Amino acid sequence: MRDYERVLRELKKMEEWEFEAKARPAFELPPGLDRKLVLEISKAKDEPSWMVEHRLKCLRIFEEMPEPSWGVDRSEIDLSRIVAYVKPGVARASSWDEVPEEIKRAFERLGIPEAERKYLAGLGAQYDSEMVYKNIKEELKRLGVVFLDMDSAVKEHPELVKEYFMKLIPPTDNKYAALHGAVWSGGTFLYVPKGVKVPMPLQSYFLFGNPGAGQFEHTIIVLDEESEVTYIEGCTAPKYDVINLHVGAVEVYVKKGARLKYLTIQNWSKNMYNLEMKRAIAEEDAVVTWVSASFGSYKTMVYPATILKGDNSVSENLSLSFAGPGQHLDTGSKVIHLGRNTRSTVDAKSISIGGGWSFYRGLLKIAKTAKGSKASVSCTGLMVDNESRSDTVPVIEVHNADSDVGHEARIGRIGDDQIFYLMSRGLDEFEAKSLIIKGFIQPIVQELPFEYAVELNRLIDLEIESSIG
Amino acid sequence: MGYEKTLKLEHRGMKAMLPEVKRNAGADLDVRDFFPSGNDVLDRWRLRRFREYQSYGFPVWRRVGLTSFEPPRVEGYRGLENIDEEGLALLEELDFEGSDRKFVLMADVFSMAGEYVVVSSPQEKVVVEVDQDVANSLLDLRGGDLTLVRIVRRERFVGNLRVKVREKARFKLVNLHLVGKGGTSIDNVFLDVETGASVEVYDFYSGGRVNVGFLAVRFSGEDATAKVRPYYAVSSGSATDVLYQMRFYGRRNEGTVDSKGVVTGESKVVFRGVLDILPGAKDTVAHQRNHTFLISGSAKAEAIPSLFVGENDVVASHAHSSSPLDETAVFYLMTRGCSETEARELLIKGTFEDLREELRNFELEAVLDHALEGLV
Repeated sequence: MRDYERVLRELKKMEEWEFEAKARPAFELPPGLDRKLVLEISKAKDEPSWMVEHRLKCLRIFEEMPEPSWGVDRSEIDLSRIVAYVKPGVARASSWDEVPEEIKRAFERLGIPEAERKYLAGLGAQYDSEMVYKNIKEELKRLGVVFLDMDSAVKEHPELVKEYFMKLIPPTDNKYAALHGAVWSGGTFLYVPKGVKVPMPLQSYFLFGNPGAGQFEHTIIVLDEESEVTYIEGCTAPKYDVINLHVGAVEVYVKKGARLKYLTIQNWSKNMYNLEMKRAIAEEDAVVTWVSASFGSYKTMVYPATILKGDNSVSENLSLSFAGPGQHLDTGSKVIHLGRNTRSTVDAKSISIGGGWSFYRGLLKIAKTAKGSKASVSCTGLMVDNESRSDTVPVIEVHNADSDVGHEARIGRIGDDQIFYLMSRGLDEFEAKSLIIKGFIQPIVQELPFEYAVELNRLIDLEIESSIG
Repeated sequence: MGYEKTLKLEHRGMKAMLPEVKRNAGADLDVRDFFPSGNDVLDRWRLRRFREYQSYGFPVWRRVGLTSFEPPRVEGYRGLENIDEEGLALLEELDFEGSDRKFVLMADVFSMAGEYVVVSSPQEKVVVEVDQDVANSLLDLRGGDLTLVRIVRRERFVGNLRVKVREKARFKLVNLHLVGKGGTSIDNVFLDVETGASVEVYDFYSGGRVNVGFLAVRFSGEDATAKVRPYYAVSSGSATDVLYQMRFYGRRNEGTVDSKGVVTGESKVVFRGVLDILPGAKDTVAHQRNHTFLISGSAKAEAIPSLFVGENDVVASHAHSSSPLDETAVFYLMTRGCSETEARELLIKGTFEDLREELRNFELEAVLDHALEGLV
């Protein structure tokens, strides 16, 4: 058994890991939030008047709304010090050759362009507040798939954007939704036409390059009837000694018979407040699958939500939350059953280590109209050491008598008998623990595309090596 | 001295925010309702509590639709008038937040029934029917084996029961809430369990428009056990909201909450569970389970089964489920000669069979049968 103190030092080193992210911004607006700043963001983007009005309306709501009185402690967030808009010094490119060296190097450290070449149907890369690269395979373009950065979509497809923008996450939803509506920048717009099944995943990658900045990207995904797509979202930032803030929003519309798998690998640095909103609405026979692996951030509040509006629609939610030293990850899921015979499963796993705090918070609601529905929620927490904490607080509301609902949660450590058994089969203690943890997260890993599963396993190996090795 | 908070969400310098309780400033009890007990030591303590009481409005409980609260009419003081300094120290030690601090304080200050009892006899069984709208009792169980059957059969009720179960003592509580139609009941029970002690609770809720219960077990010692068996029969538009909390401080304690109940008509149950295992509470075993049968199309079940774990050397779990009556079971019973109504009645009553067995020891089965009448 290796020394525990050394383990924590290793973890600390990992936190401080930095890639090069030294691209100079073209300009950044001053920190703080007011009407003038909102208008300047809009001006910098040359936005149509309806979007300017929308931003100002959101700002008014933000100013009037109280801070939510639940979740992680957010007292360290000082919006007067957050830089809401940082424009990278580069024009949007559709070829990696056009992306400036400094930014390219940062993304190459993450293996992004290589991933595109090997197994992606399209890729978007956001640096600070703007998308710096967006590309999609020609054959998908010909099939009518629209994969754009959000700013371009506002100009090129205004009617589509107007129909969907902040309809699932209205600015009145909460103070941070209003903040997002006022200062949003960047993000992805994806439309998959009726019957089109995209054979390879599409990905957007979000990278921070400036200390004290906020990232407020907005993503809209619309899957028309009987279409299918897998979308991958990744996020990383170098660590700074000031607070960074991420308040992204994802709105997903899955029409009749369509299927979406939305994968997130969140590896923000340990100075990041990650307050992201993700919401999907599923129509008849549609299937929404959320798969999330959260390793990074200082404090997180993310609860991917699915509204099962159509009859026979399905929601699956698999998540892994890895809370290390100093981290408070408040994650969970929301599922609202409205249609008849709707189905949902939630499988939430957490690992707490080195004093980290993982907190599962969920809502499962079966409305009166959702007759014949079935839902199950399972939460499992693994506490690797005695310094950490693991909590689960699910809320389950069943408002009709014709549905079956089950929930279970377990929290514990790796059993001595499990270790003993594996050691009796020739493994040493580290290998035994490693095998058990990998088995624990296997349901999440197997949902990822092969190449990402390999990458996630490598990440887990690193975490395990430095944590329990 | 600070009181035992229902939720403690802090960890190594980090904290989680808790939603603020909305409160309203309606009609309330005031100094004219403060009747001296004849015990100066107690009254000084009550006055301190009264000041704290005045600092809160009545809570608004959205889930059970309690938007206002009409305070009871207070006509004198009864409860802990025989308490001494030692008893008051115990009261402080067993101070708690409960379902809401306002109601705990109301019962402390304005009780019209209750007792302070020190028990050390080898074995005792007591049946008590609470005969006032506000009650406050303190039991100091210093040894032996006490069984207390407490029946609350009121139109309205606000009550506290605090029990100190000292080393190796055994305590069984059968707590029956049979609230009158249209009434409001808010009961707060706090049990502190020392080393080697054991606790068994049968808790039953029925009736009322709003029926709120809180029962906490604090494991302050080691090697203690607590088995809590909540039951609820919710009908006639009632909303029942119960919270069962177990907090583990010491080592090798074992606590289980195994709850079930039936909801019918336009009624609703809210089941809350809190298992809170603090750092250092090694070898804790904590399990919580709830199943709700929803009998009518308009019945609602809500559950918030929470698990807070700050120690890894534990076995902790919770489970919740809800479903209609098992149609296969109904069919099976019908093949055995029951009518459909009889089959359903059998299945519903079967849910409460363990409680009925317990009540049989006190010849109180009829109380349960009466409470279930409207349900089947």
